[in-house]
Amino acid sequence: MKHFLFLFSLLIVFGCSDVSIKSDREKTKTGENQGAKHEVIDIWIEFAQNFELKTVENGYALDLIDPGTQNVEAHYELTYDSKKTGDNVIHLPLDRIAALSQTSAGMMVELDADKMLSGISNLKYVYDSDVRKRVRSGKIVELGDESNFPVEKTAKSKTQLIVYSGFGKEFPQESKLKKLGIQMLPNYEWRENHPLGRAEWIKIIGILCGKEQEAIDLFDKTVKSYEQLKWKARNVDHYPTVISGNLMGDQWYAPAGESYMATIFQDAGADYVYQSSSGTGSVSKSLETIILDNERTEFWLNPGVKSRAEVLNINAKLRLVGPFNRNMYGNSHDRNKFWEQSSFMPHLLLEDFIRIFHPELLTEGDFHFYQKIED
Amino acid sequence: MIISRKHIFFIVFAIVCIFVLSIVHVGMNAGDLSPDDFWNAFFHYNDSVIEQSIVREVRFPRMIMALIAGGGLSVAGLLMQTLFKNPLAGPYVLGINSGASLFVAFSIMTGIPFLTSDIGTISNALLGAFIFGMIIAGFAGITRTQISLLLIGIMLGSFTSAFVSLLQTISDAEELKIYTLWALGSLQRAEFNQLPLISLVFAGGIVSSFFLIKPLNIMVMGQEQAELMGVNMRVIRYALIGITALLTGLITAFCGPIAFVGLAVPNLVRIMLKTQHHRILILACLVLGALFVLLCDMVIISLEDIVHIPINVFTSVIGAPIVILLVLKRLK
Repeated sequence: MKHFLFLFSLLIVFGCSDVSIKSDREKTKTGENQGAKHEVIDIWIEFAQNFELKTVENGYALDLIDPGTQNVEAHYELTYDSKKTGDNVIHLPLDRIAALSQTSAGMMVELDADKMLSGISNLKYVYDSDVRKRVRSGKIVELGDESNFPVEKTAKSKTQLIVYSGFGKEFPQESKLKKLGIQMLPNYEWRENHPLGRAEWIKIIGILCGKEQEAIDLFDKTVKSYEQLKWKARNVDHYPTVISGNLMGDQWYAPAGESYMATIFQDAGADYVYQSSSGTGSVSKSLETIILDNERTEFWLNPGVKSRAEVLNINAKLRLVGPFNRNMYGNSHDRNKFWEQSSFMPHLLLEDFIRIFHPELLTEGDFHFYQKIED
Repeated sequence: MIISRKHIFFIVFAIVCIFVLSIVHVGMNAGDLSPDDFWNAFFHYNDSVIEQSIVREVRFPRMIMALIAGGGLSVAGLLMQTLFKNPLAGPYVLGINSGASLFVAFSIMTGIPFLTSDIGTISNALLGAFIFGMIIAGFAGITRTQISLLLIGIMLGSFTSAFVSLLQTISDAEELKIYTLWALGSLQRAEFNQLPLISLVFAGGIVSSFFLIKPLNIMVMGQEQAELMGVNMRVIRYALIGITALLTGLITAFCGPIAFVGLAVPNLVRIMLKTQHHRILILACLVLGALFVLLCDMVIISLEDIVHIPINVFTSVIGAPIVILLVLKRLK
């Protein structure tokens, strides 16, 4: 029986998946989970650096990795075994998940699991129209940010798990929430430097929603599209120069050379001005340095505003930054869509960037997240 | 009161230092900039040459604002310390700066594009400083003692701080970011073409303070003594509050709050020069204050490649130990 189920599951994976790049690496292990209500499958992690996932009896063992030290920062057990107890044991299946991270909520929507959403941080950050409707009708509650977290409201919403953007610290009032039977899981997708690594976190959300296979299929499609686009931009003759970011106070914060944004710029066939800077976070530069370094830079991306007038409102001296009068593109006209979807749809982000830097390569279609910044 | 050679030497020496250090400040980390760029930026300006624009639009306004902020806040602090006969009084003690902060916070949290712009922030800071200056001036007409006025100023400050905190809790992340960045202070917001107006208002405040030297010297002996000697304390109080509001409002509008300068520099000047003559004190505060902020900014520039320290943070880091030393010195 065990072997039959194993083979049957393999057939499903190989036969049903329209993308078979890694389908041999994701195998069902239902035979190991006798008595469990849900099939537990082996999930191969290829791009993500900040978590490790292992299939264990009746569930998954999840290790969150500190990108600085490469040590295991936290260990979680996502299990269908209701008898298992422990501090970081998350019991599956879940029915009610509060996603305080906009990206996690977006991943749930993409997996068609938005009905499981019990809470979000704030309606004004939500892009998806169905989720917005359900927040307005009271089916999903607004829980605000972590600084003043409403424990009672969360309990009343019958939330079983809170997924939040992790910053290495304990969730406020975590012990109180745990006493009420509410589990917490930090989401560190934002720490991934490879665009596909970020997208791969959808596999964890897939497990939480009982939709592992759907998550794997979606991710495989994303990888395929991303690689095809990257290949398309590889053979261009000219790599246009690009700067990203804007002033915050007196300093300009630009993505560092090994960061997520720098990687996508490179994959889109652009020459990022600070590509040689080390680090995965950001580099800070004085306005003067930015002006001098970017006199001839062709593109300015992510200024964080919708118009040139708003750029000048930040600091009128920004008119001296070379590409201010040439090409400026941003996502601020629909910031919620960008934050909700771009993490797990990096192929669409890459497509936007190729459309910006090499419009001749993509003659059809339109922007997904970006648009040209006019007056 | 006698003006000694030591006082004159101190002021002349400080002016020479300001002159030399201003040139050093503008030329720091020059990198790709040549002496010609500096010369042409002022005398043969071509806005298509980026190096000239850097000197004219970025470096020069920053240096001038350091001098104006340092000098202006120090003189405002001196006036407040003399008015209240309290060495721990400063330009912010009357709640004038709090008024500017409140109006800026309110304008940012409204989310109206104009109000969140540079010009909107400057206008609101000026408006807030002047409205609170007027409120204090109103109280100055009612209360008879300086200590009551001081307490009212502190209470106004507490009230506005609470209101700003409330606005911060209900504002969204973007608005909070804008306000927080404003509150860190910056010498880089002023534009080259704004400098003549800023300098004119600044000069107006400083020159006005020189007209009050005589009553200020008498006030050192106490309010009653000053009244006995024919000083119209009510008018003088209005004038001192008006000048302080003008200088503090101007600097807060263009640089954000810059702490401790107005508190520390006048005390330093008194300790160094050991005089109560306000002609010397005002001049010395003007030059030493300018020198102090200029030096602070030079340290900030030299550390820029390693870490960016906002001016308000740096002056607090330097100013707080000075104030503690002053308190300890007085206790002895």
